[in-house]
Amino acid sequence: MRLWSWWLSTSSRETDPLPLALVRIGIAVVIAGDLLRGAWLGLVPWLWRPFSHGGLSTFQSPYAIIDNIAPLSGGPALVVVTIVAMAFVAAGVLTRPAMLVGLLAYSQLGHLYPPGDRAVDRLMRTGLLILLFSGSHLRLSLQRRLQGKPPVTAIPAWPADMMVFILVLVYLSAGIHKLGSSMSWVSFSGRPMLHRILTNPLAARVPRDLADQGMGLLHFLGFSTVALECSAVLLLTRLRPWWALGGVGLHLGIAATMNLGAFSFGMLAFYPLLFSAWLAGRQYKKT
Amino acid sequence: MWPKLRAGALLFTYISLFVLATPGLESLPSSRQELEETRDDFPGSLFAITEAAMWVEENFRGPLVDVMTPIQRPLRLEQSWALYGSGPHSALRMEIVIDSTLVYRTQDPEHRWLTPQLQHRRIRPMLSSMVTKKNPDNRVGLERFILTQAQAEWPAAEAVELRFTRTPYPDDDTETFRIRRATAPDWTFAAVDLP
Repeated sequence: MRLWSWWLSTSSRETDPLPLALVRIGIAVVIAGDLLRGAWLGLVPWLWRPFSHGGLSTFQSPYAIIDNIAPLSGGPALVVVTIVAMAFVAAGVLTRPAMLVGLLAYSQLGHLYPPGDRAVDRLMRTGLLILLFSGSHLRLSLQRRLQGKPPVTAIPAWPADMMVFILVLVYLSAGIHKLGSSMSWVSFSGRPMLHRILTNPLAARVPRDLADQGMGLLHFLGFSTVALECSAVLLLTRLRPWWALGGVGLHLGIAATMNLGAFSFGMLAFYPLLFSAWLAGRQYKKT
Repeated sequence: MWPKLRAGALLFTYISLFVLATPGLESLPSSRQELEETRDDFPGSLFAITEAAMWVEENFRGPLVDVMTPIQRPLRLEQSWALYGSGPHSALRMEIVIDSTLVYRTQDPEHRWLTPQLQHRRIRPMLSSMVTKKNPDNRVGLERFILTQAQAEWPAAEAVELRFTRTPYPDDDTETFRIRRATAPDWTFAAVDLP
């Protein structure tokens, strides 16, 4: 009974809306930016048309309904819809309807082109789905500002807590998976795993001779990566923002050395939640 | 009443998330036979823990995930959660040769035609499968994409050749895995004998 009471009070807790509002803006900007980059490179008709109409992917998911309705223009139209919806989400105008429209359109893009729908896309969609039920639209909102509404200072905290819990699962899984796949992640002898990853020509951009010179550093960084990921449960403690500093370093490092597109920025979009104690300028226990 | 309902719904969601994304289970052996083969590699207690985890996976989590996964599919939320394990065992590269001129080679600063497109995160999985799979699902789509771009850039070209190579890490002995070539006027890609 005491456990239930604790859970009841935990799930009824309130928090500052600023971190969730920043996550809302971050996810929207990353999704829109990623799609605009694809459009800039002329990839939209190739990626999001069915194979029978000139698209790249031989197969579409059975849930891709748009290719039956408008096979030629449906995918490109969904790209436009998603970008416009994300602009509304970021600006905080008609935020929840825009989130719903953007979420549906973005998931259709994934169904249309499954090979390019990666883990980070799914994570950002999960984030959007949770934000849909949150009060993230009550802060940093152009609509509220134009309407002259006063700033909201407290909203239910459960969406933020749930996203942090998901990040714990993601990082912990990644860390254990690395250990399970190769002990060279944590070994200080032989060739470090990061050497192999950062010299992989398809995904990375570190010259081989430069990587060869930094074996010691790569051993250390590989070990640090696994240590950071396996210690992700610290996100559930007051050490959360300190852990997050390491996470920022990890993702900026990945962004600088690898061609993974939106991955690092999509992950970092969730990080305002991890710095909520510092953002709010008060102690973790009060947030 | 509302706070209790919300607390109950959230509890259910948290349990569901944990079942779907239980950390560590993706590293389990894929079968009993594989587990037995690793018996000598594990200390006894670790083997027993792995065996117990496999039982939980087979009898509890796996069936629950099978039920919950279809619910996530309409919004494409389902995923493996583990992000990234280890790097590839070989350095994989593609080359594009128009007539007899090399115009693209992966990570070659002197042959960069179409590099931004081919490095795009949504295209890269296709290149990777061309160098790792015997019958990659999206071979035809990728060939069509590159051929269209090549014809737009070099309208008078007579032949487009795609070469896929892999270099086992960390050796420098590169092997050619696949060569595909299309020639005017029909521009149909066909396999070329490997050197």
